[in-house]
Amino acid sequence: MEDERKTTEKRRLQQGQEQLEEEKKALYLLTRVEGMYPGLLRKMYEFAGGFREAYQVPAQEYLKRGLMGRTKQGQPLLLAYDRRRRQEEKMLREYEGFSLEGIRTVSVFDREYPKRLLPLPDKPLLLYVRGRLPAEDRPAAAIIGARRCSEYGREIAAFFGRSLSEAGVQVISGMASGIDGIAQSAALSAAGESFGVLGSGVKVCYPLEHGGIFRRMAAGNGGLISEFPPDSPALPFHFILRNRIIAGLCDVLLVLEAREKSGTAITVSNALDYGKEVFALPGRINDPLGRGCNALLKEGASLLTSPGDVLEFLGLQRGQERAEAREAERDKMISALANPEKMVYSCLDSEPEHMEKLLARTGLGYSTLSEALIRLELLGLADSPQSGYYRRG
Amino acid sequence: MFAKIKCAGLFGVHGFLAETEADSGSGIPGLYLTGALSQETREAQYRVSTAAKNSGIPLKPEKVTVNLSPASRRKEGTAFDLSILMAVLRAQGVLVEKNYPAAGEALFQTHAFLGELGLDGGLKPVRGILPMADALREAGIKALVVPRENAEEALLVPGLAVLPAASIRELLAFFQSERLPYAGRPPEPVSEEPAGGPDFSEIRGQSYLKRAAEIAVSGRHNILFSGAAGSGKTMIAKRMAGIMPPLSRKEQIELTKVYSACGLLEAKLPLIKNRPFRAPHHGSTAAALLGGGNPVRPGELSLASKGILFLDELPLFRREVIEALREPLEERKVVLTRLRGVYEFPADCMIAAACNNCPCGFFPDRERCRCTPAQIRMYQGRLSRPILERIDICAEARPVRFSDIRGEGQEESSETIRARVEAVCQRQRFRFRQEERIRYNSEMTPKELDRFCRLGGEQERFIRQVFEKKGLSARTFHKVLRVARTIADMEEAAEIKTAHLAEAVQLRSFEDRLWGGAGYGG
Repeated sequence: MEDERKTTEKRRLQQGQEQLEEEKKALYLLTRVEGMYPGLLRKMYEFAGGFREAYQVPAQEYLKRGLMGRTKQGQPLLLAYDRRRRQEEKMLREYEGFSLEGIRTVSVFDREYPKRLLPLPDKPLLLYVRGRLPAEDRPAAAIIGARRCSEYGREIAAFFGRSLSEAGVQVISGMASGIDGIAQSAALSAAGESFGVLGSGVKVCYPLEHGGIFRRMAAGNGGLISEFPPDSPALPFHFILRNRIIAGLCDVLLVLEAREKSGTAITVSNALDYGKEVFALPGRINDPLGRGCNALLKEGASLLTSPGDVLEFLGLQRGQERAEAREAERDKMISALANPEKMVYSCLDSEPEHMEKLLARTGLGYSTLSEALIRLELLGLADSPQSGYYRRG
Repeated sequence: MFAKIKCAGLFGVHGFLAETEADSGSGIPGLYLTGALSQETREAQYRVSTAAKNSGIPLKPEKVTVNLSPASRRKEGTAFDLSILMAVLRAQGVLVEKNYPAAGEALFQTHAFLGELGLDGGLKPVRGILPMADALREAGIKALVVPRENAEEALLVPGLAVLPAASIRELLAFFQSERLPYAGRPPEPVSEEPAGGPDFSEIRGQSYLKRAAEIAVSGRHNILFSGAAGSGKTMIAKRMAGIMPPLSRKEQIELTKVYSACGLLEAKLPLIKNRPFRAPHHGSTAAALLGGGNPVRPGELSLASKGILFLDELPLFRREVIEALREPLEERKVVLTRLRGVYEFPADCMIAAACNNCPCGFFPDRERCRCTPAQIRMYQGRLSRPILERIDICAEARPVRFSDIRGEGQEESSETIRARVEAVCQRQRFRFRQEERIRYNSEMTPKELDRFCRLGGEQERFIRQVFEKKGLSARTFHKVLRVARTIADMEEAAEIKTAHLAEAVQLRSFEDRLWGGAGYGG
């Protein structure tokens, strides 16, 4: 008797799981229909009562109920929808092949689906993931900003990426060039993890210059997340959709440098809609890259002056202490410097300076100056962002 | 009747002894030329007979056969005209001792004739006089008859008498006189100091680039200047030839031969005294750089021999052109295999190259540069890796500000710098006195590096730390050692010190940034 009950329960569970799997497959097939968007998916689901059912309904039905719009020529908006059967086999073959390429599909039905995304009204129903998803039990911060950022922005992005991840915060961003990529690459080298939400498929590295961090993240040092099919190129409208996932996945959003009208603004408004805390780095008033941030501050964003601000908000006192301890250690290292390193360090600035200027400032010869600079570089106290130029590390 | 006249041909930058044979006799009147002749050489038949007519000694209506010997060797150029005319005149019994007292058999045994004829009987200069004269002297020829414009150049060969003539009429008049008016030899120059040319004292500031240029020249390291447009990269490069030690007389002659073969010499002052600075345009073809064409002439690489080959806008050169430079630079000579044979040209030059950091030229000045990171990477990625591997020093230029140009104080002159460079060259000569192939620090292979660039424990530790931190390659390590050796030589230090290594590492950062994958700082 007991055994029988167990097996029935098991069977029911199995059935339930199989049903979920079927539902996920139908969802997958629907997302692969050209021109599909999350809003329509939701309407279709509500109308049919499930994705499996929704998939069977012909386009005419949706049109009749005004769920699917028409183009000016009277064609259904989703022209491809009626062709879905024809490509079904091919799509399913791809679906089966994802696991071989290290790509996982995570749908809203899966237990793995990020809890942070669940409350979103326009949440992505199906995600493609390479590597890991952000852990639920650890705080996550998104660092975003301008693609064409200043030297100062690069430095700050690297600094925040490094110190937050060292304090145990998961750093999320959009893998764009500029602030995004710098923060992520700093987090990767400091804590060995970072999470990228892509505007392309997870098999497509965009921009190409991030090939290095892309591969590392795909291999499990953090992860790559996208709601677009794995081979999808980075289309312009993808980025707006991607931004809401960044805003949804994080606990706090840090804006480092942004022009007044930019993609960053969309991410910020998403984050505010989802009730996330937004921090903005104050900018110089005459700097176009500072205007976006300053406008946010004016509207009530929290002021970002140190990683401590964020850690305090996240309740990570230990992390903050650790960061402070590191700062103290650094100060000790600086005071322990011998000459000429000490003197050279005092002549360095946070903006990169050319060797020639440093030579004039320190009064040393090129050989001695080079030695001091390289020794400082080895200690992590100096850095050369451009050949021939040095700044404080 | 049969006659033979000595002359010379040009093959690449080398001359060779040739003989013009002529036979005149009965048959259908005409001038028949044989002996593997090129188009312009064959056309001599019209020039010779017309020039003879217009000089008042028309050829007799006989069948004249002329052979340029060795007949199997290809002959190019117009320098054979004069010898053909001389041979024909002798074969027809016109140019004999009876009519022209000086023109005995003895004269034609010891004299060679070179020059192009005009239809009016005038003598026109030809290219390649110096290498041909040199080859003739080696073959035992005592005197050379040349067009007047080529006289100075022919006089560069010691021990060879030169008889310049402006026309056939003038030459024949000489032969009628008792004594031939050989050209007087100018006195040998006392000093071989290069004169004129741009001077380093004209550049204000830019101490970093100047220092890098001095290190490069001292150890003969190839150098790449990078940096914003208008930051003085070209100005520095132009002055680098002026701080190299002066050329020896032998080197001057060797170099002049190349210019002679290209027809680039001035008639009045033919000797190339200063080290050359050549700046081929970035659209140049491989043939323009290495040599080629028909007839085959040396390219820019050979013209820059013993001096500086400046490749401005390096990323814009065609890749295959740049990569073709590789082997010649290593071998210090260009070897071209053509249908007519194998040509060998000197290629013992130093490369100075320049590039901007981005297509617009303003990077890293982000306020002016509007290039995207992808554009910048694309531009820098165009730098051919194989050629960068042969560049030991990369120096980043700094944008010039107004205060730099209007600065006070005296800048060092090229002469002062040259004196220092010479001292370093002397140290290297001493160091490599027993080496066959090695003359400069930049030429050291790992074997020599092991011998001459031993590091102390402290230096070893330092360089290991640097390489671990920066993730540099073994090849970069060798470059750093070579440059560090030169810097140590400049300070007359027997051992390489940490500071020398550090400066050498500092002068390499460009390449590592490009490919090291270090990514962003921080």
